[in-house]
Amino acid sequence: MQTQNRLDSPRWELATAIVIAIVSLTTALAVWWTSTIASRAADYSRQGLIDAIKVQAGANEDWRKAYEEAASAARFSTYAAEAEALVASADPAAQARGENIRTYLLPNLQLPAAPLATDPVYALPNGAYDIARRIEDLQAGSDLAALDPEASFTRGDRMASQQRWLVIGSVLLAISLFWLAVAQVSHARRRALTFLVGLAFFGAGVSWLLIVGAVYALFGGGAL
Amino acid sequence: MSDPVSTPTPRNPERWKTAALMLTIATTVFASILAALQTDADIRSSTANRDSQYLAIAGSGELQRAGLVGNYEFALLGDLFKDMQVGTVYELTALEQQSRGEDRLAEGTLVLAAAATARAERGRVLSILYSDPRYAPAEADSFPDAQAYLDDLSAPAKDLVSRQNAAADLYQRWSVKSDAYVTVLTVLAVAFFLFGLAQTVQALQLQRFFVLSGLVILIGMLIWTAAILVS
Repeated sequence: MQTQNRLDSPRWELATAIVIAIVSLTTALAVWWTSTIASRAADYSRQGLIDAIKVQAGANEDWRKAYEEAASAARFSTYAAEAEALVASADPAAQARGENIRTYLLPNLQLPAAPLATDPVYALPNGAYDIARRIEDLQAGSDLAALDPEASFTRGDRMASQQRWLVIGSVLLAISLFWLAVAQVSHARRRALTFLVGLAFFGAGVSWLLIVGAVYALFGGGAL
Repeated sequence: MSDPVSTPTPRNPERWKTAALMLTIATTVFASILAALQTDADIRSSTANRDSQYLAIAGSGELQRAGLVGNYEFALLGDLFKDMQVGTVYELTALEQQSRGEDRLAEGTLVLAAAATARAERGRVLSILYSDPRYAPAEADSFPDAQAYLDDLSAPAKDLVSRQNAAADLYQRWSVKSDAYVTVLTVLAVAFFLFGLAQTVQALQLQRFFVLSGLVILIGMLIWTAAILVS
């Protein structure tokens, strides 16, 4: 009878209210934390997409430039072959035409084909041009090469995974809050039981949040 | 003096309130789990949406690349065919000139034929359709396998587009699930409301009505959630 009176005392009600306030505050913090993680995950995804657009735009431009040079280089190369054939002929007029093509036409054709048609590193043994290497060099020389959308996506995925696990902690806290509220309106032994259940859920929720936070802070998510 | 008329007292007058309380607890737990499921579905749909957009960007870039490469190779092939035909025409012309006894003119025409042939030969070196064994003609006078080249050229873009479609479908599926969970959560609010009413009204019949109505809604939402989970 004495225990029952103690459980129904205003002091006990005040204690329950204080615990409810603490759990409410913890829940709010957990939701804020989860929301921050979700926001960062979205930011990383957004950044990854922006980087992907930049990288793709840069790659498109590199391809365009390389094939513009390649078309000019092909024109230069075929005219050079024609000039060689003319110069090698027995006809003096053709020889003169070949020389003039070499002297006046080829340098002008070579200009838009540079550096693909001028730099020996792009010359292949069979007389063709190494367009793939030219593209690699263009991409390596671009500032956009430093951008890594996949890395942003990986970080975003890790944040989203953490968000998923944190939500479970918030769920435990919400359940705890409910049981504590029941304890506040209950009486006697029922009050004690529901209070303990609420505290157990609170402990489990806080532990869960701390474990998830530690696992992601120390191991970057690890097996989670 | 007769006894006052007494109304029969129910065995447990608090039972519907207790039922409402227990159902509220169950609904709270269910709503919490549902919120977690909704978050998970939302994350999955966002990730699939992002992947879909990323693959669309990559696919459009690949299409542009394939267009540039294809234009270059087929322009080269066109020039090559033209030079081959010009060389042949000059050779035929030289033969006609020789048959007419115009040997000096024929010599000049043969030089032009040699120049055109030299251009064509250089074109063969530059063209992947003649230099790559996968597409190069098996016989000297046959054509390269342009269809095989086009198939290989468009394969990466087709692969990216099919992956993009798969990601878009996945996004759609998770998005529908996420929306359905939100709807279930919204309807659950009605169940909460009914259980709350059951706690506050005094009439037993009304308590029973509200508890049973909320229970019907709760069971309906459980079935709907199960259907969403397995869909």
